[in-house]
Amino acid sequence: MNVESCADFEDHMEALAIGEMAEPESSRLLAHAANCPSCQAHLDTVSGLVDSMLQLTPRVEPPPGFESRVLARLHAGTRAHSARWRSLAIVVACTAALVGGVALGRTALGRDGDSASLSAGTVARSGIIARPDGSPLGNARLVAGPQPFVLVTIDNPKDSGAEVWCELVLADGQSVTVGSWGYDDVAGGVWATGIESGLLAAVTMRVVAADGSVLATATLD
Amino acid sequence: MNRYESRPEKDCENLSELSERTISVLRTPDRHDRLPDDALLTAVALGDTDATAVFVRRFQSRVYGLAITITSDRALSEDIAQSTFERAWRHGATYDSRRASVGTWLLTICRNLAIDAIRVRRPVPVDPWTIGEMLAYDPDAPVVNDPADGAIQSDHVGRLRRALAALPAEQRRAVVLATIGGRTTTEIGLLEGVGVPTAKTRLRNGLLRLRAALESEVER
Ligand SMILES: [Zn+2]
Repeated sequence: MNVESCADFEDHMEALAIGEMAEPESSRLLAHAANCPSCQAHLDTVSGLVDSMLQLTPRVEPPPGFESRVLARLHAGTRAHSARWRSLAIVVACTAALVGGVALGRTALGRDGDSASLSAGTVARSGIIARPDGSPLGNARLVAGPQPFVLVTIDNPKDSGAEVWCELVLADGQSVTVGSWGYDDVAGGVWATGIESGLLAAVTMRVVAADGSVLATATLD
Repeated sequence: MNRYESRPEKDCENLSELSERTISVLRTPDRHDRLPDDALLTAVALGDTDATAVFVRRFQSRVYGLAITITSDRALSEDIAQSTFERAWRHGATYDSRRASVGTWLLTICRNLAIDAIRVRRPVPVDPWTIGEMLAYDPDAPVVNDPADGAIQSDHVGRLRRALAALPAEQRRAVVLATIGGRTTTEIGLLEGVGVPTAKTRLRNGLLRLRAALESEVER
C-alpha cells in the first residue's frame, strides 16, 4: 500500500470505527485495510475500544411486557428460523468471515436474512423426545462438527430426584449410553455431552432410568 | 448393555472454544450455576424457548439502555431492542467468543441498529439526562460490581471506568458521545461548540489515551 492511502485511512479511521462513514467511502477504506496489515491492526484496536466502551452503557429497564413482546415476535418468525435449522452453524470459528470486521455486528449481521453458511457444527439428526404416553419431554439433536455432541433440551424440567441415562441406538440395534443427568444438570432446560462421530448415525435416543426402564424415546431423523 | 462414558477428544485442534466450553459447562455437575452467557446464546441459536426468555431477561436493561441513550425515543428504542434480540436469535451462530463477550456483541448489534435508525430520523435532540448520566464518572468512586456481570467482566469494566475518568474532560466527552452516544464527529462538534477537526482530534486523542491507560493497567 502506498503511503498516501495509509495517511488517508488514518485520517478517517475513528469515523470508520464509530460507524460514521457512509458508503461508498467505508467500503473503499475497508478494502484498503484488507490489504494493509498495519492499518487493519490499527482499526481493530480502535474498533475494540469502541466496542469495549459499550460495557459502560447505562441500564434502563424497558417498558413492562417487553420480554413477552420479544418472545412473541420471535415465535412469529419461528417457521422461517426452523427451516434454516439444519444448515445453521451452531458453533463457529468465523474469524475468516469477519476479516476487516470493524463493528462485529455490522460485518456479521449487516443485512437481515444473512444466513450462517459456516458449518463447524450442523444438526445431523433430531427428534422430539416423547414419554410412553406420547407427551413431549423435549428435543434431542445430534450435532456434527469437530467435536460431535448430543444436545438435549427439556421443556419443563422437574425435580424427581432421580438420575437418568441418555442412550443412543444405532440402526443395527446396538445401544450406547453416552451420559446421564439429574435435575440439577437440566434445571436450565439444556444438557449436552460429546459423542463419537459414529453415533451421529443413531436412529433413536432413549432416556433410561437406573432400573433400566425406558422413560422416554426420540426417533431421530 | 454396552455402557460407557464417552470422552471428548482433548487434542482436537479444530474444536472451537465456544463449543468446548458450552459442552463442558453443560456436562459439569457443578449444579446451581446459571448457564454462562455463551452457552446460553448457543441454546438461543438452537431455538430453545426457555433459554431465549432467560437471555432476554439477562440483557434487556443494557440493550434498551443503549437504544434509549442513542435515540432518546422510547417507542423507537423498544423496537430497536426487540430487533436486537431477534438478530441475536437468528444469528447467534455467528457469535465468536474470541472476539467479544456476548454482552458486547449484543450491544454492538444494538448500537448499529440505533445508529441506522437515527441517521434516518436526524436531528435527534440530546437528552441531557442520558448524556449527563454517561459522563458522571467519578475517578475516586468505588467501582460497584453488578452481580449480573461475571467477576472478570466487572474487573474489566472497573479498569475501563478508571481509564475513562483519567481523560481530560473534553476528550472523555468526545469518546462517550461517539461510542455510547452514537454521535458523529460532526454532531460532537455542534454539541461542544467546536469545529469538526477539533472534535476529531479530541476523539482520536481520547481513544489513544484510553488505550494507553488500559494497557498500563494490564501491565501493573
Ligand atoms: Zn495502510
